Amino acid sequence: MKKLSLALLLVVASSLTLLSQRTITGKIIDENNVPLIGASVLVKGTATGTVTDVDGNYSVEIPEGATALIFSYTGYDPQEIAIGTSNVIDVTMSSGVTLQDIIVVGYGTQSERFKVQSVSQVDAEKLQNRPLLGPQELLQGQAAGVQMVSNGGILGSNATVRIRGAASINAGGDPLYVVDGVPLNDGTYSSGQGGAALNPLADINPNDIESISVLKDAGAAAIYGSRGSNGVILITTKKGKAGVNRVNAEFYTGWSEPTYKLDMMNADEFRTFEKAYNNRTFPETSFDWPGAVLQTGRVNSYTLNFSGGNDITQYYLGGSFLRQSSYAIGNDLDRLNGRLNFKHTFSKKFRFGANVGVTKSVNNRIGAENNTFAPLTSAYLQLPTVAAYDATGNFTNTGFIRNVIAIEALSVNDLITDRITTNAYLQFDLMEGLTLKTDWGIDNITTTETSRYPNIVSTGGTGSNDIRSDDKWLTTNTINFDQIFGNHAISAVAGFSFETALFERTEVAGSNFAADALRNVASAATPSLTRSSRTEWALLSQFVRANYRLKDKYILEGALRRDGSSRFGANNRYGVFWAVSGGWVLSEEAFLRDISFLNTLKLSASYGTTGNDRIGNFQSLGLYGSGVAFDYAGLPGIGPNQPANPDLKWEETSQLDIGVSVELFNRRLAVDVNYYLKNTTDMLLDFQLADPNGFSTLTQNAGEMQNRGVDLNIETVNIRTSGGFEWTTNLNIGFLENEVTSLPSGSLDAQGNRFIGGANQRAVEGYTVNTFYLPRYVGINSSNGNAEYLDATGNIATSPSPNYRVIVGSAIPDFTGGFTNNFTYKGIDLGIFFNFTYGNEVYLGDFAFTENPVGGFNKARVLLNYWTESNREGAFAPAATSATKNTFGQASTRFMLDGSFLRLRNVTLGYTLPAKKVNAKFFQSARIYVMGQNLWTRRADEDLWEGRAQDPEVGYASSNTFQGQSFFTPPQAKTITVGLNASF
Amino acid sequence: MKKFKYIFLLPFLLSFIACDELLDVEPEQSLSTPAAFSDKNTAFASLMGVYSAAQDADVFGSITAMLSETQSDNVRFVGSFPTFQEVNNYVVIATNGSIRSIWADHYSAILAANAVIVNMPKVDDPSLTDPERKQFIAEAKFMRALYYFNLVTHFAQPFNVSNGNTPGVPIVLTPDIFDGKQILPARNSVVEVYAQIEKDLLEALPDLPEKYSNAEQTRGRGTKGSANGILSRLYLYKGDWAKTIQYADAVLSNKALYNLAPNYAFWDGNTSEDVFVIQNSSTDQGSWDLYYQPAALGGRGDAPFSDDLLAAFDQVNDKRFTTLTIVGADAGGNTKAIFTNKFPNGIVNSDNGPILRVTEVTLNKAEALVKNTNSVNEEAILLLNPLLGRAGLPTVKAADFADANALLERILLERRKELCFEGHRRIDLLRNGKPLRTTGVGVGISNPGDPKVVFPIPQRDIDLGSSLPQNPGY
Repeated sequence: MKKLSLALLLVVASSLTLLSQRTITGKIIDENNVPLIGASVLVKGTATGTVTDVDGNYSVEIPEGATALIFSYTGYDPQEIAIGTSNVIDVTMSSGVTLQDIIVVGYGTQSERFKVQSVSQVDAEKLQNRPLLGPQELLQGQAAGVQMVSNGGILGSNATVRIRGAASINAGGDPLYVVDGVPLNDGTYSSGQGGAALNPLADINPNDIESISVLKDAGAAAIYGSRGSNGVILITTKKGKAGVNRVNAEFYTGWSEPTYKLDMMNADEFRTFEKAYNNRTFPETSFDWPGAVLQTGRVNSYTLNFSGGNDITQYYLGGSFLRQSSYAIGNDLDRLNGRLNFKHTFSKKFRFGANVGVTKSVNNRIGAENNTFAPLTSAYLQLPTVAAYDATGNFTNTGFIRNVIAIEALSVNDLITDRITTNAYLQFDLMEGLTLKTDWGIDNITTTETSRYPNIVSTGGTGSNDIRSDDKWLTTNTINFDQIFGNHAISAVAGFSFETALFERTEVAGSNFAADALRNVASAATPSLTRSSRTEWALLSQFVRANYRLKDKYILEGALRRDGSSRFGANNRYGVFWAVSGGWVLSEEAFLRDISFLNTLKLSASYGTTGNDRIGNFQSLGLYGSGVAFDYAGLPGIGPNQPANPDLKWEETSQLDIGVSVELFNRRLAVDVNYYLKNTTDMLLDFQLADPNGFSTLTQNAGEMQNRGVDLNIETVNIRTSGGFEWTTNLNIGFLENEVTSLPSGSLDAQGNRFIGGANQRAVEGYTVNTFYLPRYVGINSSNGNAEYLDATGNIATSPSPNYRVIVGSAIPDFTGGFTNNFTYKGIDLGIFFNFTYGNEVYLGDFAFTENPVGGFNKARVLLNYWTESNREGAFAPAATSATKNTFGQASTRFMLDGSFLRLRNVTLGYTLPAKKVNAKFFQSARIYVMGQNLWTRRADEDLWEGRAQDPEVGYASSNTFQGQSFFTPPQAKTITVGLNASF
Repeated sequence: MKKFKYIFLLPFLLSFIACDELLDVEPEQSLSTPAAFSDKNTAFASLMGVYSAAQDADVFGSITAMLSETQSDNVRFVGSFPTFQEVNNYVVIATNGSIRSIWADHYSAILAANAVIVNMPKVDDPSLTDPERKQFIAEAKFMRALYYFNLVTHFAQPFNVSNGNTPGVPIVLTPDIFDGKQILPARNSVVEVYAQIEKDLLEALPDLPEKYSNAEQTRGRGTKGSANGILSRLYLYKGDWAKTIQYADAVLSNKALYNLAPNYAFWDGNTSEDVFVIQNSSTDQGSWDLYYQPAALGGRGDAPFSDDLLAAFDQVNDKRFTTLTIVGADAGGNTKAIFTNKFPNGIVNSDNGPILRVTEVTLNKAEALVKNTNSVNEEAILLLNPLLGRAGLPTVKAADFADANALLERILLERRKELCFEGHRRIDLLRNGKPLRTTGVGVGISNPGDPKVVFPIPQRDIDLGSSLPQNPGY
């Protein structure tokens, strides 16, 4: 019996051992019984874990000795539940009161609930798998007060991002981009080729991004000091999470075409028109140029990443490959991204980690806009009576308006980008709540731009090679303090940083090649350019931010930064920037605590200053330039190229922000409203000099500008049923009023207003920074066929003389925003996202060419409707006999249109396969989807746009004073993609 | 582990060490303004910069001369730039960007010259001798005179309209902007501008060398010959015939340096035909081929011969036509357009800019002789005949001309055919009281004194509050 007992004991013991390696299953739901999909389950103290499926179910094998499971889900309080005897653990997660969403702020994170900074955070799930031209597009319509306009639809096109309006006139208007603590180089790393240079951030992989934080007010941005005025965009890349070892594979494929195509005459229409209207005769040849340069664009994207880890080490290793061709011939892109992020706890007090991102891309470029080598410019301008091929099928030389088909078939126009953006850090806990961190980062970008045009395009052939590199390194050293003493919570960060970047450029070019097959400049008989240059800048900073919270109700925060920059004059090298913010969580007060439908009510306010240092590196110095621009007859020369201003300093923006956050009805309605008032003073202005001074401009601190507005963000859960159906809505709108309040150095226009800027668009005192100033077009006089305009005083005139120019509009919208509706039911998800712009004008300079009835190019079909004796009413163009036809192509409001639009930016329909339908042992989840971008657009005043098929969304990067204007800007792409995501 | 803590503190110590020097970053491709006149080498380089400014397309590069020819009757402009089309169509407006570039780039060239003239005496370098200082100043004055001459010719009515008592261009003689002082320019009269040009040239004359060490510089930098030649042109435009003859003779008498070329092979050659020629290489921006050459030869094909100019030539016998033209496709689609071949380096863009050559000086003198004597001047005929002979045309004699005017007309006709496309036609017509156009657009509105025969003062400078009365009609 004893033996038996012993044997039994052994069996029981071994079965106990077996039991200890058992499987625990369960379901995770929220307070409303809605299953939580993708919630994390981790066996405490191990790397073992899983995530819940679409029904909220999980199943995890627990190793011997496991004591507890940790359940977590973004936005909910994590729970730790001890493992008992039961093999089933169901969990109800509650959205926390003390711990809410964590948002990323400058040099740290804060809880959404207690933040007093104005920060909008866009999270990863909104960002996935869209075929984008650059990461800036992720922000479009996602954050109130952030206006993002694509500069065009070709691959690598830049984007204009303005946070709460342009805070400057001549200094840069782009926000500062920071990836994992490394402020990115965002200079010019490619040639414009007729338009703006390509997007310097295009090589950041949108699928590596975990979240994007937009720092909008001074309270948030002052910690970035001299670079905070335009707002700061903090990009956090994906990190591994303890416990869940995941393999994630994603693939999508898509097709694109342009949203708009200009409606040009065909050869027969052109010949008939020219004969009748201009008495000009053209050959009988016909060729459809626009048709020949457009194609169906394709995109294929492959992503594979591994992530996970344990309490000690977490990792994320990812790679993706994108192959894309645009809707224009000759334009394609290959991009390879790799990323390794890891974090390791070395000892109890000592941690380190690194975030490494590498990219290589090869962009086979095309020119755009003001460039006769650009397919989408020259195809519209080229006479339809000029053929691309001669009788024997060889390409023709079509002269100044290039044979763009030959160019794309025979020439080289590549931009190869290599970039590595990395930071590595060590963290050490000096004592409880006090942490030191040293963080070292680099951002090295190198681009190689190569062009080679064959003999048929440019006689003898030309070639060039242009290598740019911008190497930045920085060190940021901070001390963090975070402690709660009873009712008092104190956190603070203080630090210093040093940052420097060296830009180098080497250019060679030559012409006169023996054969087209000789690709490189080495083969050019005539070298035309040999140039190598470099320029450097440095920034030295100290900063501190402290936050005090009393009883979780009252919050006070202050930030201070002192920056020294090599860019500024010897007399003004250092600047100090600061902000104070306060908040009051009313819903914590006793008198509101009993209101059951009120979850959160918070008031916040901030005031502070930020700066803008976005001018050239040596703008304060008087300079004599050198090189081939100044040599003569083989002798080296130098010449004046910049006047001095030793007093040059930062542009300073002060900003007041007042905000209210409300969460109601069990957080099913959340509203954030912020009012802001931004005043920019000491604006960095290109002080306009009369040309006889010898220089046209002098960079000075002069002038003031104001941006004021309201950012409104509303999130609602409209329907949430226990059956699993959910409908959520997000509406965000940024209302903006911009006014140039003082321009002491401006020119005087005929009406006595001070201004700075160009002939048609300018910053005008008392008006916006993007004011259109044009002669007013009235129409075609039905009785005599003359084109009629208004002179400055409002009388009818017959020419658009510059003397008749008046202020007619602004390129700045009254409001912009986004409207998103998401529907989910079981595994089905549908997202519908519109963005909109209202109240701005756009000036379409291409019409000055295509709608010039006497010009030497192909013409828009609208001109066929010209005035004749029998076509008096509603004629588009003047009579052939009218002298006004000669000035019909000159600038007037005829080319300015209402730029308001509503666009179905993105619609996505997805289906996540239930775990039981796939092999649950193998797949953790799988989702298939179809997505459409820009499928539908509604422009304001469609009748005025009649026959004028141009995209209303036009922008121009890197200039604050040239917005909302286009010149054959390639339109946005209309794209359909289908994709598959699978997790293993 | 304790050790780690101290290593860790190192970067924090750095924050206190880190200082201003980290922010001292100097430009590497440019010199500060004082450094530009710190020694002989940089001072000389600054002088070369004054010449280099002339290579600018909007100064003595391809554009100014081409637009001038377009505005008159030598060119059939078929190019696509709207700002050039405005000139061709007589609908120029004051915001024309190309015209502003011409205006602005001349003044930036003048700034470079002013800086040399004012700073050269202050260069603290004993190796820079007094004669060298004087010569460098003289060269800068010579160039400044040329820049003002080009400006006043295009932005103001010719001297013969109201005897120069019309608005000219602002005269700026000091580089005030270097001291942070900006000027609000005011227009000087044509008389004042001519006087300033004359003063600069006469002051430069004694200090300019006869020649330099090589042909490139002898033909490409200021010399006594080039200053004399420009003075002959200045007096011709001004109507001072005696001085025209005097200064033309000063050039033509120097046979060691200046001779009428025997044929038309001298282009781009720095030969004795050339008195002053802007030297362009393929890395400069000034080459004159750009608008004058067809696309197949590397140009834009914008500016072929006008029908009016074609009609002026004996297309069979005149070597100026047979050897100096080329057939090609123009930008307007005509594949049989006739272009000048004076600037054949379209592929490498290195054609020099012909500013002053012996042929012009010869014609200046011939014209002045006829006007001075108001007769069928034998000496003028003697000057004209070598040109006719060179062109392969029969020579002429006094009996061929009914009166002085007939001879003058013949001299002006030969001047047109000799100098076509070099930027003389417009001013030659205007100063002789003739309209720029006798057919097509411009008829009746292109006489001397008419608004559109001169460029407008750029609207921008007027808007800046300068005292710059606009030319009438803009």
